[in-house]
Amino acid sequence: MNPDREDLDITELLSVIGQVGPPSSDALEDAREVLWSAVTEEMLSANDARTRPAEHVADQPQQTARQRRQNSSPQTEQHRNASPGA
Amino acid sequence: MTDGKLIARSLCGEPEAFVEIVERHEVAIHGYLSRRAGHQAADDLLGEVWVRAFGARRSYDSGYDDARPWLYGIARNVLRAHWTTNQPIGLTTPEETLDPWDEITDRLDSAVRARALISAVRKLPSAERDVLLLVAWEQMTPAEAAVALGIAPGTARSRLHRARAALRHMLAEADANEAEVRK
Repeated sequence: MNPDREDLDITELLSVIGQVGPPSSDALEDAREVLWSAVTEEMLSANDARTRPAEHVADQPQQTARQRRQNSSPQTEQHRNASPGA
Repeated sequence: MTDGKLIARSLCGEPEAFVEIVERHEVAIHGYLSRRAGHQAADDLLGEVWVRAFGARRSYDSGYDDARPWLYGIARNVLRAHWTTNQPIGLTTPEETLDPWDEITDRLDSAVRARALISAVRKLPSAERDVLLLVAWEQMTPAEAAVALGIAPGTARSRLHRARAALRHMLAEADANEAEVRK
């Protein structure tokens, strides 16, 4: 037998021995469930990341108020008065 | 839409787009797992393949439209981990002992040549066998098998060539032995 013919024979035999039954729909569904858990987890963490900057923005006025308080504190007044340009 | 574009979408705020990748390739990947590790193991490992692929999708080369070779590569890694953790005590090559070859041999008990072929495939080095079976069983080109295995296309082609030559040689030997027995 020539090598090409033999390769064909081998390929045909291999495809016969490689035949398997189709997966059950339950098995596919179960595997997709596992994936969905990962997808949902990522969606939730992305959502968290999106809401965190909003909370940060909401904090801004408080920080500004604190800064304002600090700016008008006696220490700051002293510092301002002590500065060369004052 | 190509697999590459779906993966890109899944990375841009739509992770659920990845589910379509799974729906496209789940039967093929299950078939691969089933051929290499048996039907039950395939059922057990398929979810692990999807989670690993989803987690690794940033590494996907968007230059490839078809995600199948990449998914086969991930499935192969899952299989290797499975074979490692399920290694029976005292056996050094779990891949050989856990491949469903015995099941196949039983199914093809009457086909002497098929049995000789199975025996020959088992004797191949695993690197050559991986390429051969991706091409023969999964209908991949050598270039696609190379992507799945993370090797150069030329390496895949030469491994395939060596595997086929070795099989031809081993089958010729088996035929000669069979003829000798019949004399």
